[in-house]
Amino acid sequence: MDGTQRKIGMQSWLSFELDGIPRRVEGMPMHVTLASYLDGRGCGNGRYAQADRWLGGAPVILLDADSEGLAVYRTVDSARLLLPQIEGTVIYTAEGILRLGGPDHPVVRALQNHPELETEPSACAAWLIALFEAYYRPDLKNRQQLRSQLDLVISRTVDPAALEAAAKEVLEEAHTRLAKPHRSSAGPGGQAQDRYGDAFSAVLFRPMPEAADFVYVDDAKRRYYRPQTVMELLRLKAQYREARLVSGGGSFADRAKAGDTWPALISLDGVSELRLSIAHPDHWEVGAAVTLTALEEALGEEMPALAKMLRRHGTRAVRNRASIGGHLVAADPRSDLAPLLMALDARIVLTGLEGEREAPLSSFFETDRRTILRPGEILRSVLIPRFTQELLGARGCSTRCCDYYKVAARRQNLPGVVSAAFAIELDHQHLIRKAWLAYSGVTDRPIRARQAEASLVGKPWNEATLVATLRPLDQEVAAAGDELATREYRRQLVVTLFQKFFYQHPHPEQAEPVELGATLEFLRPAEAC
Amino acid sequence: MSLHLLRPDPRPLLKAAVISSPHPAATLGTMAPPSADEFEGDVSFFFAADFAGVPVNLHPEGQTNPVLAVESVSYWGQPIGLVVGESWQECRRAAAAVQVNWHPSPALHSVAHASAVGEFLGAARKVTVGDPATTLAQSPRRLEGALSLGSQAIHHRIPLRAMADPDGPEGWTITVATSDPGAVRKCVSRVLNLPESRVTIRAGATAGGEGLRTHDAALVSALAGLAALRCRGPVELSLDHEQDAALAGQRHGAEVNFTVGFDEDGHLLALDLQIELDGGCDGCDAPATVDRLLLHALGGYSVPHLQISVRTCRTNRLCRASLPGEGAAQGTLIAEEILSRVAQRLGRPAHEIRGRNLSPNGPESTLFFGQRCPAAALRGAWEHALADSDYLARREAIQIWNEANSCYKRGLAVIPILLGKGGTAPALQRASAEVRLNGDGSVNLLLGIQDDRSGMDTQAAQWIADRLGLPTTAIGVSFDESGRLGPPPPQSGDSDLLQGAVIEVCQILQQRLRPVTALMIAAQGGGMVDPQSLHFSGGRIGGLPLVAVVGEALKQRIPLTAETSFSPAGLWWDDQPFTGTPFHGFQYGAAVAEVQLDAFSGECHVLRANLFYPAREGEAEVLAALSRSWHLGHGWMILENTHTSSHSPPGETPREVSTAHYALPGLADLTFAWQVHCLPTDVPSSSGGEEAGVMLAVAIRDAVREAIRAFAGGSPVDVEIPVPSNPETILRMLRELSRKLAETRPKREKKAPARPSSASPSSGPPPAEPPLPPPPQPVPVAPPETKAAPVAPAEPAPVPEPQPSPPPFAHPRRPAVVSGPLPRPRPPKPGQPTHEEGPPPPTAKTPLRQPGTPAPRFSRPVSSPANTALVQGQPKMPPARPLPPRVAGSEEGEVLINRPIFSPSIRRHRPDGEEKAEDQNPQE
Repeated sequence: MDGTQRKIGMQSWLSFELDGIPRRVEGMPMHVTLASYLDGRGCGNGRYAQADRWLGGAPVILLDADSEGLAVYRTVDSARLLLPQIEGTVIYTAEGILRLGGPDHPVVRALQNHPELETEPSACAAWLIALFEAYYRPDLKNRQQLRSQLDLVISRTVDPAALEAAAKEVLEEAHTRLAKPHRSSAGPGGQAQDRYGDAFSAVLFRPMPEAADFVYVDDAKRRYYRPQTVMELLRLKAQYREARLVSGGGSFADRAKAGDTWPALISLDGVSELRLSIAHPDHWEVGAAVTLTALEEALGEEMPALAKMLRRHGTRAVRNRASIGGHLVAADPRSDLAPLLMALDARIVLTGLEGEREAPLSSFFETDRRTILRPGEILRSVLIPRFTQELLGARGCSTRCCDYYKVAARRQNLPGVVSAAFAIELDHQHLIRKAWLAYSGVTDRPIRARQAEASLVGKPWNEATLVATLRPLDQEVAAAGDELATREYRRQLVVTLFQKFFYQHPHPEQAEPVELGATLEFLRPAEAC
Repeated sequence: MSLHLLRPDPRPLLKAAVISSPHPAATLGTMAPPSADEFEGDVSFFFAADFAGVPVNLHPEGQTNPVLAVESVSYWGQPIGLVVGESWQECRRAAAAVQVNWHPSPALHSVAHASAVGEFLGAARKVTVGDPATTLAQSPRRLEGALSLGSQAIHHRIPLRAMADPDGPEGWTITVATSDPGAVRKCVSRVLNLPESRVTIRAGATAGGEGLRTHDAALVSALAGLAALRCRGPVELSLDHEQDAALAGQRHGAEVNFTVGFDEDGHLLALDLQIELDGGCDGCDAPATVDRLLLHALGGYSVPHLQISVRTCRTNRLCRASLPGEGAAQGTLIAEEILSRVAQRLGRPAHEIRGRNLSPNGPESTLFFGQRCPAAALRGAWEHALADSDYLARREAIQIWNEANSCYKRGLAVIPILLGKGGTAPALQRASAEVRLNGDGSVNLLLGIQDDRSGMDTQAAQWIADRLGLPTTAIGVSFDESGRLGPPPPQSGDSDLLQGAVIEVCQILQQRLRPVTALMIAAQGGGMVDPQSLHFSGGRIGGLPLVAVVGEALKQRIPLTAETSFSPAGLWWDDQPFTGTPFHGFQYGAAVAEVQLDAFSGECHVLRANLFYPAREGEAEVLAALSRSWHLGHGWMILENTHTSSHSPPGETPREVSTAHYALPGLADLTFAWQVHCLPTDVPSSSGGEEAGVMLAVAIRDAVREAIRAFAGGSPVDVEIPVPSNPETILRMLRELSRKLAETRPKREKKAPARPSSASPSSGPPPAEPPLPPPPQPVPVAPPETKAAPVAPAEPAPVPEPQPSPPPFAHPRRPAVVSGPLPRPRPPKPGQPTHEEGPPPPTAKTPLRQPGTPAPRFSRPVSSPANTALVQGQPKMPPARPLPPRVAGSEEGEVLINRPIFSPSIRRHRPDGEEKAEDQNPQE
């Protein structure tokens, strides 16, 4: 290496802590997933080798840092995690939790109290993981969050009543512990005290080591880089043209299962600048490596449509790991995030060594899963404008209303047949100043119905306008049929989802939508649990 | 179930993968395995030709598929070869790299196709009771109909794995998860050409409610055995998810055509039922399914004259009876469908017709094949269900709710079920158990079933504890992993037979210990005691400690191990006249389901389900089994669609086997509020929960039908929905419904210019005759921007008497304006502006008339809710429309572009008038 480059030590081993025991793995190929590794060690009795992504995968617990830098336990799907990505972290499997927690751990006890909850051992392990994360999550307050926590597993053999009872026990225990007064004043650094008092929470409150810069070389001389800064990242990308960028790692793990390998991978996990969501006065700057869970935590309060969309996207394990940048760059034609971000008028910042450029997200996608990214460029951040009254008033708007709808074969963890996001801005005369009608799953890329949007400008937001827009909307958006749904169904949904938006938001100045269905009556999302 | 998540590490051994067919029907040409150099380690390929001399059929009787396909394949995923290697990844890669010269042939995907082509399996069956033909001809009313039953796929979380070890301690050892190790042993010993005594099966636990593993376990074990035969060492064969789903099979679908004769009260008089069952490619399980279907085809209803004919079609898929409720659920579906259609035709509420047809008189009645069933208990369950779930009050409330909401509709339905435990092969209705009394008074029980983790072991321990007076801690229960006790009972979850076996075996032991005890008591000076009067309780027999008695028995060399194979008495069956007593017990119940349909996307939510089932409060396992089977049925009714879409290219992975497309229900799709009401029962422990839930879930389908009918707003429509009725189907149904209703309106001369985006003029109030009941939905008025010339009425409108019909312009939330009798409609003079009928609402503002322009037709404020055109001169009955009518002049495959028909500003007010603080986050 020449002297201008910073010397990065290349290592051929990986070290992490698995079930409380530090392990060191030598020479493992780079494309091995955590699930294959665990299966090779004989754990799990075949459950890791045969994890199906759409049924929930084979989740494990990963020690991660949330947006404030505090340690937190996250559920991740081990089959969608490459082994070099867990260098330096702590992993717990279901068996490990059983062994380390013992029969007195509240989560284990709750499952033992309800033996009829599940008859399938792999699903039972997944429920254990889901409840474990719920136990250590201080922000789990209401039923809606609990439902999104428990959407981890698709199981034919679960008894939902028993599961709910077990979850209730776990959460009661957690709330009791968290409500206990501090035994002494705030600990070192003013951080919270460990109020759980068990082996797992001790790890949470242990000082976390800094994510070091490292390069892993496997036995076939494939390299895995984990740079610390964006400049380093760009330099590496320019230097190794065949290297691929890894952020969440899910799509890579899927291809690794199919047998693909890559000569080099560059991970965004260590670049802390890309994991920040910065609140500017007029926009949010969300780094490309921000996970969807972190996105929900940061922006969910302010933008309820975003929280709604994220709850429908994948499972908790997927959201804990998938990053917004990785999702957008993958350019899935059925993407869940893309239409909503288009409706939120998001812009993206693309950075290369030669400079930065900014573009609206609505023009980011090209046909056939390609994007406007140039080689050597990365998607650095997503800029989502904020919609406060002052900012709206500055553009002459009085209100803005945005909502998202996803229609899929089932409500959790399946790609959407049609995902739609709509937004309108009304001016002070209650005429539409601007409209966004974005769809994905309809054609080969996420689109906006520009002509329909243009025809809405200047009209009042009432049923006449709605009716007048439907036919042009239908004619503009050319739906396609595929193995998920027929063309007629998609065509229908393009139109009726916009109608639904109108019926749920007839008066956009009211922040709450009109409740047409049974959700509040039966699901009681805001009810504390 | 205990959390047995830690298992010992497996031995290193060879791995094998299966090469399976990517075509549902094809002929095999040459097969070219890739060169072994491309793969790490040794990789060997085996095809059917390598096993010449090995019997290929799994089962000796009937048509079955070979273990490895020889010349042609008949279903997607059929094994054609094996790859054995050192790691499973390499085997999978090698299997994918095998080049086979396929000649695909046209495949039969559906029953309709198969019956049109004439591909049938086995002989047709016909059951006739009474004289159906004459009675049908003479019935006051007759109804014909068709029903299409879809299939349901089985997805196991962990695909099947089998390990074959030729050098096990007892000869060949096969380790596989299966519910019937005896059948697996039979197949493997045939395929490997060994006596059954040289083959040992070690069956692991399966997951209850996921589907039995019998045929696929046998097939995979045979494949593993063949691989081990060739490689002369232990081999572990694994399937991947898609292969496992393909080999596990699917439910038997069916096409049903019926003609039913009934009277004006809805009593069914005669029924002619023709069923074409989807038997799959081999029809292994079809006869048993057909039998069970026939036995349950009427449920608990009585029809005096009937004829049922069943044919089994051959299609290119694999149909198995592994899922619970196979046969019985199909029968219940058919019975409930017929009754719903009769109710629909008569215009009566469905629960009335059902109640009338439940076997009427006396405590017991006779089912059509001769067995007596507890009709009074069934009737009691029905009454209980109607009362306890507030069915009638809820029905009223839902009607009111439906009137107030036009984009979402709710439906409510209640059905009874009668589940018979048993089948047409009485010899199969047996269960085995073996008990061993140890020297210290503890007991080991071996149950003749496999562990499906549904708590059967704790239940059985309780039975023994009660009988022998021991604490449950002294009882060890294990499951018959090697299948040496005999075949398990055919229906999963049927614990009655098992309980009978356990009780019988306890009695045998007791009979052996009683004389010993009597002698001991006499020897101790207690006098002569009648051995039969000695009680077993508290660890003692007749006062003597059990341990002492056991010791004495051992001294006298009395065997303390007992085994039995229990079969209930009195079962018999005669196939020809289709009579007998096939059931050893009944389970009855009822379910009330409330669903909500979303007209925007066709999605359906099951809001509330009340199940009425004879169980006890504390039986958590039974309730859990009921819950699992209910959700299985729920998925079958409204979510899971196994039909390949017409858009998927032929030869590619069909939708049905891929979890990425198949809508297995998740937690968010399940019933929101689920409740079981336990009916009083005198049976010591309830069973049958695994099957009953699937049958009870038929109520969901009926509720969906009610909700779709609610879109018609009260006009009589016949709604026929297939199984499954998933969102796409429901949306299509709603479109067809609106089209049907639009067609029943008379054609009017259109003088209005065609307005591209407004409702077609064929919308509007229906003709005055036949007199419709005053529909609940008042009519808001068309927007005033319509400048069309007034349209002449189609026929002279009848003079409206002052009738208590709701004024047409009353908004649901605004006060109704009724001021005296409504004036007669004046025939409009052309060119003259006319006013609408009736007095304008008091707050209506007449818009200013610009000079030179004709007055708008309707004097309404501009911001009034829009609606379909109220055509001039028509009677004031608001249109009974389900949905806004379709746009005129649209091309094929048109889209339902709705004109909104109600004001969106409807909020549901709480009874005390306050609005509930809604959650911030919008929910769909």
